[in-house]
Amino acid sequence: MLFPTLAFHVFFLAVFALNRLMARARDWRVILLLLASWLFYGLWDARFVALLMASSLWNWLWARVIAWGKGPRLLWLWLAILGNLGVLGWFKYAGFLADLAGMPLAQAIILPVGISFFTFQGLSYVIDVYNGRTRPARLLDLTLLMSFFPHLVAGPIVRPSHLLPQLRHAPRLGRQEAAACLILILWGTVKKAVIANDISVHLVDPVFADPAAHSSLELALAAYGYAVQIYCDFSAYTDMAIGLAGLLGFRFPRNFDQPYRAASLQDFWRRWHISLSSWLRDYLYIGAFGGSRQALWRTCFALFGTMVLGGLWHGASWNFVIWGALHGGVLVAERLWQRARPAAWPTLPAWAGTVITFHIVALGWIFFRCTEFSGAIAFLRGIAAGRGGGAPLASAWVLALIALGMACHFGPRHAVQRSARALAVLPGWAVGLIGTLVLLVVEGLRGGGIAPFIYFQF
Amino acid sequence: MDDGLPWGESPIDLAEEDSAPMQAGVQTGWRWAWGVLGSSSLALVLFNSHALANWADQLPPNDLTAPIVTAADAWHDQAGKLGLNTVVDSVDRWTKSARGDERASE
Repeated sequence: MLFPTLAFHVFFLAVFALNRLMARARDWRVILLLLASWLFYGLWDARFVALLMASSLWNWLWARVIAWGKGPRLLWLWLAILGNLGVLGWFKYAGFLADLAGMPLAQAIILPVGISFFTFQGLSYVIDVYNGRTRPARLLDLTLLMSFFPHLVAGPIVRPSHLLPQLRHAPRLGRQEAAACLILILWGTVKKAVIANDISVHLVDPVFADPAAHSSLELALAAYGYAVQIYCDFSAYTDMAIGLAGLLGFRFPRNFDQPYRAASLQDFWRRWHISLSSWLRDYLYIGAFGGSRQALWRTCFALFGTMVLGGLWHGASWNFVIWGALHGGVLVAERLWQRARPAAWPTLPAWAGTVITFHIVALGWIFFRCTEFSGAIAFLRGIAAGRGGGAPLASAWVLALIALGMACHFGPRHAVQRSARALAVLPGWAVGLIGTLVLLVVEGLRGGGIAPFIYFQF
Repeated sequence: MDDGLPWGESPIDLAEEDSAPMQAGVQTGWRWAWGVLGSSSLALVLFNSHALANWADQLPPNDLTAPIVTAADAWHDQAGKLGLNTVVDSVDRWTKSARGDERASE
């Protein structure tokens, strides 16, 4: 069930109404949301609901053992972590590793949607309990934390210490908050159904499918187009997730903050997929590799290693490793340059940093988008060849959408909040009619159906 | 430990609501949101029969779904005759010409 569809609309209306009716019945509300989440997930593949349940039970059990305080707590923590990584490894990497070993699997393994997201939620829960950052939760609450449908399949990764306390209180929803939620849902629908979909169908997919048949200019435009597509696709999902959770009385963290406005790659990672980058920072870069309070070479190794593993998190492919290594390498270079740059040298203007950073990110997206390493290299060679081509594929319409996707990075940072304040003074029915008009325009603009979100595959 | 998401870290956090006592706001927010969702859902049933017809067309064909598909298609035709699909149809036509779909289909 995809967010911007009729089936989800009906599903959400029912959940919204029942959630409100059960606002004061804490446990029944959690049970309702849990059942709704399992239904939502089960409509993809009912078999994996059992995996979700088992994963929740596993993490709950080990967190209890760790919190009990008897025996080797570190060993219990490692057992819990290995269990999580074992499941993730089997589904995501077994085929890749078998291929590497020259023993391809007889049958392809079906990847459960969102497994990376709910496994990371489980991991952060047991590690947080071990470190005393969160109290052990009830099984019911932890299962909802890991299964909650707004963030289940593509994030944002919500920390236990952020969500679990919200389950202990009656849900709150102010009028302006509700307006902000609705704006996020509508804006997310526009970004996904119009911008990302059209750029994908009319430019990115045909060009990436056959780079040799297109001119260098078109290849470059497709690379820019994919940068905008992946932003509009992924940020749309998390905008909608935040808005939907908000309407049910839950506050989710911000996950994107105008990422292509970043003036350095370090800045980019403070703005892109913030819930994953902060997860990698806290649990890998600092937790496992020791962070920046150590010798410079070890810090650089930590940075590079974190980004390579972050690349692998996206899937078992050399292209994801290269994508992570590119980001890790540039982050290391930035850090070394910060240390080595003579103080008297002039600093780069912010706009130049933004342009350079965007092009490094766009270069990385080419590896991210191509399934094979050779495909990415052929794509880059095609750009560098400077060859002309026949009739251009990129229409003025697609170029306008790319420009719109970029423009929203340079608009006011708090546009959603300002619009929410303005909208909240209107009566509900009037806002409903405005929303309807927007959705009707989206329906007319989007043409065919809605493609699955890019991050569902992770 | 376990103090929840700090205020301001969610895009739905609006500063003045944090300091105000939420009890009155809580009720207003729910009711208001319900008004928005209810009115837009009704309006969408009226003015977006495309979505209903598309959804019905994607159902697996069997005896159970056949009447649903027939009803959805009938409503889509009726809505077209009544001019309720004007917004979606007009935007669709405009978008096709902007995309250059006619050129592609030639």
